[in-house]
Amino acid sequence: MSVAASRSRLQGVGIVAGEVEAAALVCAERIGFNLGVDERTGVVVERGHPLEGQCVAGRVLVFPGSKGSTASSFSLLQLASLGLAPAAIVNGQSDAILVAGAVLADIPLVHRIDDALLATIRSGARVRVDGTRGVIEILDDTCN
Amino acid sequence: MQLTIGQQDLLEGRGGVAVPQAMRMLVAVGQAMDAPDLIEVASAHIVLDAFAMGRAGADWIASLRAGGSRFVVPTTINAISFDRRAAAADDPGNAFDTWQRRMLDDCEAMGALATCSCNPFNQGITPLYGEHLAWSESATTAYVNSVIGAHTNREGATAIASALTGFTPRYGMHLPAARLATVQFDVRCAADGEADLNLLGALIARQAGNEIPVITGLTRPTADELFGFAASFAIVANLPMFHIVGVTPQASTVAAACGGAAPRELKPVTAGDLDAERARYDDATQTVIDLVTIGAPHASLRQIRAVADLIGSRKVREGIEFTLTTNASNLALAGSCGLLDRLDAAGVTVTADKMCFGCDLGGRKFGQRAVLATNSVKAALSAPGTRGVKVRYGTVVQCVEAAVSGRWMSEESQCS
Repeated sequence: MSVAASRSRLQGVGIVAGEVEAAALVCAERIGFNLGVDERTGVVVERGHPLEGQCVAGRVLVFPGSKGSTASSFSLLQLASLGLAPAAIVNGQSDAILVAGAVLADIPLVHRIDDALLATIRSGARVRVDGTRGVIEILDDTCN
Repeated sequence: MQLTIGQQDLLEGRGGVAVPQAMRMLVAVGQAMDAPDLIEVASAHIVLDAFAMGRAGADWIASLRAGGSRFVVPTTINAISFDRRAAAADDPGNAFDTWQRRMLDDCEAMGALATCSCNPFNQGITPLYGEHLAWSESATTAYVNSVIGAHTNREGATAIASALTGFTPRYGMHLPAARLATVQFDVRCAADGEADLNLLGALIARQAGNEIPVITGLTRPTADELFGFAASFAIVANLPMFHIVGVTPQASTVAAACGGAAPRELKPVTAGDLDAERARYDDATQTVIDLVTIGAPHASLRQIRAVADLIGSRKVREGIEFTLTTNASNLALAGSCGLLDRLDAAGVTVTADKMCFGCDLGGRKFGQRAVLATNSVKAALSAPGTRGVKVRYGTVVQCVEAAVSGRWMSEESQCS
């Protein structure tokens, strides 16, 4: 299958500007960055979380929204200072804590992608995120 | 989002480097939450915890000061990672202490009041009914919305952005319609004292889901009990507000709390519910106590007095560590009242500024084997995860007796 044939486009609302292209990391559960993601390694450490053991660094992180402590804004900043932040964030609905963290850490952020459409993005797929226009393009979904 | 000319100027960089970034943060949050505009805040309360912010957070705060920024509204600081009185004795190799000291210095230089407490309102810095605020720390948020009747969302880094600019996006708790209750909890058992009110806050938060609750059937709680309720409510749910009929300013009746509509659902709270909630925190298999902590949230002067009176002329049993955490102003008052001398003679350690989560909690001495006694759901929830301790949860009387005897004294449930 050619890249062009598998390309699909999702329209959301752009919240933090920036364009990036990277491999997606997708989960259907909320993420609590403070205490849920190790800020020294970028690895999800929350027990039982679907992404437990996976590293968020450099990925287009696709999840419904964040949860937990108001300190999570600074968790994103800490990850970014070590080069371990996600390349972009795609949410169903972002909250103020996550948005503030994305601004601080300069992470492009798009939200208001329908949950059913979010689920069509597969982990590992090449994804382009445009945080200004709120557009997600799935470039190559032939990987596993 | 509609910005005024003045706000547009701040966004575009006429106020240094930090202010445009702060404005971008507030505008981005406003856009994500469908806020129509930015409104002025009367004050800000900022979290400055070195454990949560790390070196990157400390560097960011330093950059604000270096860029010449000032806090433009009255700004208070939440509990920090150490007790300032012990600062000279701190381990200079402890990076967290270094970052904490830098952040505190920088924020004081930018104009913040170093309250170092999760309850600045009991240090005389009290928001007023109807004010719009940017207050972080989940328990203070719930308390100022629900008990004082001021308006604030759960804030993180955004509270610092509001302190730098004086604005917050108008969404959530700033909108009257978003503050209305939709689910009623009727308390049908005795729920008295701080330990029960802590449990009640947690169980109602758990059952409320994402809906703001209105609570009936409570004997009128004290301010201390309400702050305990708010703290456990806020740590279990992400909700910024509850209504207690007759206490919350906008909740003279259930109908008033719900904006004239009937609640969608009425949930009774029974003695069995309260016991089940207690069982979540209270490990009944433990009878020998190593540690006792009171003061999460920070103890009020009345709570400090209560511990001193309960322990009387007795002493904390040899080998047990009893920590009472409070803020610097209550600590000073407790000193003036002779309470600190009495507590010191009894062997109770009283600390200011930090929370029990910032204390060693016996970790060095007991490792993972310690059993902690507390009357705080917040401490009971956090301690096993962060300190590896087991917990007995109960009343302040049970906690003080455990400190003196070394054993947990069970108490029949007062609910029937």
